[in-house]
Amino acid sequence: MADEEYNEEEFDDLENDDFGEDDNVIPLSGMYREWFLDYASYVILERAVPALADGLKPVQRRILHSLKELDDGRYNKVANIIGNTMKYHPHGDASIGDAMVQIGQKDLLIDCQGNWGNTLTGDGAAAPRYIEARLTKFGNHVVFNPKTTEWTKSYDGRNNEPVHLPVKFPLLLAQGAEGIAVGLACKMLPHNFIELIDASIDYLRGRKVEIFPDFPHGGKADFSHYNDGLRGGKVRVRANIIKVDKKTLRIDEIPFSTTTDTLMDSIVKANEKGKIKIKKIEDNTAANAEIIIHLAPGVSPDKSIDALYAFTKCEISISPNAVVIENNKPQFIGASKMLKLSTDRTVGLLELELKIKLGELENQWHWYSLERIFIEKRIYRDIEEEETWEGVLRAIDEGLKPHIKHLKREVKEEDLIRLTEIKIKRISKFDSFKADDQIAKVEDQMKVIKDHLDNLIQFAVDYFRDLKDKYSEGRERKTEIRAFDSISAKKVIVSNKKLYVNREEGFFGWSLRKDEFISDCSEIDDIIIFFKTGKMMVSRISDKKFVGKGIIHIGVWKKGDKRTIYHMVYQDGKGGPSYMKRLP
Amino acid sequence: MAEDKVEYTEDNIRSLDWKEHIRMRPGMYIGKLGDGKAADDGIYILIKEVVDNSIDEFVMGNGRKVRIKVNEGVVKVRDFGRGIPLGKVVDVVSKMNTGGKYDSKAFKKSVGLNGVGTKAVNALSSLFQVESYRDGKCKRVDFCRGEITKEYDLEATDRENGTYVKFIPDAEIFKNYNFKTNFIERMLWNYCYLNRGLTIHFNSKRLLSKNGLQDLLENNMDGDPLYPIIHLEGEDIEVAFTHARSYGEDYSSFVNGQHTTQGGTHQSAFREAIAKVIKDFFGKYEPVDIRQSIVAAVSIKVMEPVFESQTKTKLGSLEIESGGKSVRAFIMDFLKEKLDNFLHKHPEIAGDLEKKIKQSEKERKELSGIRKLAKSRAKKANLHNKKLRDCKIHFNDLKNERREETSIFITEGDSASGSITKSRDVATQAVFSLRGKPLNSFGLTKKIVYENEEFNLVQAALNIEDDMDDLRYNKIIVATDADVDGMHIRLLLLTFFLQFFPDLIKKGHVYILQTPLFRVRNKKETRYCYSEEERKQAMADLGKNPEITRFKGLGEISPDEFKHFIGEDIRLEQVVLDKDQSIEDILTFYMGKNTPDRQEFIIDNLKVEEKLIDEDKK
Repeated sequence: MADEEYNEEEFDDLENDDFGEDDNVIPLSGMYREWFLDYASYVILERAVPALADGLKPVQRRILHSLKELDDGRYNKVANIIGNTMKYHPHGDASIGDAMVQIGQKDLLIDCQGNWGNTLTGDGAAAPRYIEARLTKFGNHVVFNPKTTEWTKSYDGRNNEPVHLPVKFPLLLAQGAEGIAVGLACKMLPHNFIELIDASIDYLRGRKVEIFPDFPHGGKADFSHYNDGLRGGKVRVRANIIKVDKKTLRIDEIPFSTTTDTLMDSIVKANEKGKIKIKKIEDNTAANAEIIIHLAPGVSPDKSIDALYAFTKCEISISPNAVVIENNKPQFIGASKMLKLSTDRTVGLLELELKIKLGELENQWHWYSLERIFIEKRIYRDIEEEETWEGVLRAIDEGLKPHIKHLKREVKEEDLIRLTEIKIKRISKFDSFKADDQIAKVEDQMKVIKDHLDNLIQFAVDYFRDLKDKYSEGRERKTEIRAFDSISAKKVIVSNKKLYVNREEGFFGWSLRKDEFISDCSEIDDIIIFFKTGKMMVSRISDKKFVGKGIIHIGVWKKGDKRTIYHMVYQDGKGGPSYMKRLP
Repeated sequence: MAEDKVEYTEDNIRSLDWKEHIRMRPGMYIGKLGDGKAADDGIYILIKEVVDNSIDEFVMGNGRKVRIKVNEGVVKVRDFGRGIPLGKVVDVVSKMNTGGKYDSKAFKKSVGLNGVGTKAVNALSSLFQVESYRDGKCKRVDFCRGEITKEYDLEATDRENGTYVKFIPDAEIFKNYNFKTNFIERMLWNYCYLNRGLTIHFNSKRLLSKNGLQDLLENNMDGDPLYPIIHLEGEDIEVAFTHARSYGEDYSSFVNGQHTTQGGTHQSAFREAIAKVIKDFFGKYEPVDIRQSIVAAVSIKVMEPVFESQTKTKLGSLEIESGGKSVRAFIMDFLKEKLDNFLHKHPEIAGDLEKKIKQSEKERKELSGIRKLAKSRAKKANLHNKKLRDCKIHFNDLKNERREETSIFITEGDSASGSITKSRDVATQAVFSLRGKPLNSFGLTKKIVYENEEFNLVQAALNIEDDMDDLRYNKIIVATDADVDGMHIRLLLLTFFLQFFPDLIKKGHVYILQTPLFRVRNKKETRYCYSEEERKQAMADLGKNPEITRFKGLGEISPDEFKHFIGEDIRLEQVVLDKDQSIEDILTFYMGKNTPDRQEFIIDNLKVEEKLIDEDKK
């Protein structure tokens, strides 16, 4: 290199040279990109969004797998289950514990012992060292089957964990899910257990499927804009408010995502802001919600109910956003589509289970048949002469040959080895009739399974019906579906302000206390004003507003109020014709 | 005692040959050595010294382009100036105190006055090849570490006049050096800004500036300027400035084409003058509010400049020429006339400027509202900064030799602060431990630095409340786990620095600690691997079935191990700003509100974690 001469062309070529990107400095934007994608990808794929296949987030899947692993029919301390889960989930114990309590509170998969908290009041669960858990019968029934599970190594390579659990039920739709990831958030509402099963059956029968959410604490809900749970949809949920008497209201069902505590806070806040008027509120919640609202004297209970919906958490608006992970990507899939996919997967899993069972029966049949030949035809005697292991196997093989034409598959070496292991006792006590009977029994079972496979859809329908029969007790719909009228806030707000006008200067508003009082009003009312000039205007009220001099009439303008009608008569110049307008 | 006495006789007195001296004390000539990871490492100074000569030719009106190629550690520079006089080629590059710039008339306002630069490059290169073309004749000489290896005879050539220098930095001196092209590019751009009309061909890129310092600001600014850049020129002076959204003041200053990264008399004069002129123009406002968020570039020419340091990064000259105007008065007079006129002529720009000043004033006053809190916090932190385990030497101990080594590790809670503390060098390494994830400070005002205790303590530890000059650590090292939450904390911390103390990053003080991802060991040997490639290499080297541990959190590394990772072989990645992307855009996109764009970006670029263990089995 040292002898290399200067070469002008080398420089001429530079503009076409490919020096490649400078790979040794990653500028800020590159760092941000890397770190952001690392974090966002992880949160989306591994933390906040459930998988389409089994409807579970990784932490939930690992908890359930752990529960199954420890399952011996007795309760286990939750702290121990959390510890076991950490073999698969390399994160904090607190986050695993919280996730587990959430599953438990949904009252479907985990049989809870101890104080698991109260979703009605928002009280938390007792510490993990106190509370206990085991799988419910339902959980055991629909979530697990090691034979149909695909396994992978855990994070440290020491254990196996399921890629997905073979869930034969639309679990995600039943439980709902919520997760805030980076760049996207998952929000899926819970649906009714029985309706989901019916919908699966309907789908299998080729009927139309439509499902709506159902909430554990009841209430009423308007699903007309549910949008199948996809982004852009909107669900309104209301508490059930009962008029007890003229002075008292009672709430006995609260909207989804609220607790009696948060609901009452919102009512007290609205009262402080003057939007509603109540005297007292108390919490009489026991097994069921019961909030008693004592109204201030002279306040209409019906109007108060509307005001509660308009200004407090008695009405909640929820924007669902159904998103699941499939093929390592977030997918936006609607609830009914998800139900269909889940049902298809269930059918697939049932078929797989049947095929595995059939394979096992076929093996059994094969073995029983071989054993019978081996003993009945006294093939075991053929090996007496043989001196080598190979010779023994060959002798058995030769001996069997004339008798195995009816077998369904070839005789393999492992079959031969197994035959050599038969005990003398078994040979001496051999009973041909019993053997025939045994074979016939297996054949019967095979026939049943083949029949199921031939009529797989019917089998699946029966499977779902069985689920419904066994587990649907107490899982009837709790939330009443209905269409809500929209409540105009202006109509129900308490008039807590006073309208004043200053005609000399041309101001109006609620802060002009020294000026002329007109009427009560609220802070969101509109005001109508007529001027000497024949001009008329409608204007939003504020603390103080300038509109100009010459006000001849001012009042609160109630839109849609049919009882008040304005007639405006005006003359076009002096001596000109008169005109009249009517409002509204 | 007498026995141990070191002899001090005639034998001890040595006269070093010029090249010996340079090689023995390279720092005196080219600043620090380094390996090319920082922009002011010696290998970049080598390039600068060579290019300086080419630029001087351009300044004198000879040749409009310079070609530079840097590839695989070899640097080639070709200019189209007059070429070194053929008979003096050897002298110019290898004889001390020889050069064409002693005659002040020829190179009136040049930097490389004493002609040491090229010689230093020569002495510090394992190959130094110089060729000069002059009127059809060519002279070539090759050197190795300053010694001539071959001197060629004069030859005829049909090449254009000019000089060609090729050199390879001596790997004995610059251990494991590696050029980073974006550092070189940034340096070359500065030449272009200061020398309009000069085209530099750098590798495959063509650098050319039409509007001088205005281009510099436009290209280097984060986000849009708040008003069009004000660009003023006069004899021996050029300034450009505007205001931006970011906090802090940002100056680039130059003397005779030399980038004075540490400022000096001209920069402080400019700071003072610009605030005074604007204050006089509006008749009100405080200098701090006027200068808040300013982005400015100033370049002046000085006769025989004096620098405070060998590397010429801080101007010390008090006068523009000996016996002439003071630098301060020169800049003040210039701005008083030109800037004042400009503001009168452009009322809309003056209006925008005033708006920004008012906003800064308002924000400052808002801050003073919580000053009480700030004061009590500062008092407490002064007494005892409870998140900080300090070191003994600090960056602002200007006299301490080791001040450059000072660093602070910002760690993630319990995962590493204990082990770093145990294995640190208490003289120069401090530890600050965060509790949990810091707040996302994007879009917040500076108030949060006072309201949020953690941020407040970081500020107190770094000592940068009033001025960057008091920074207590040269390196701020973010030491989070290498897991996803660690990545998140990095994002949040850098966002904090970028929002409120962008200068820390601009000046290259912020680093990310690289920790090994794997430990591969057998009974005899343990290796720490920082990448997948290194792991594979180690597994191949260590033979059958080595034990592999994957480090996910710093908590998995014990203190004894940590010593290796923060000691001499510490691996740091400097946080470097982009040239083409503004901080504001980056922060808005990554740290701002959710947007459909961002959602799409994430979904399209999702990273799926591959399973290490499965892969190995295959």
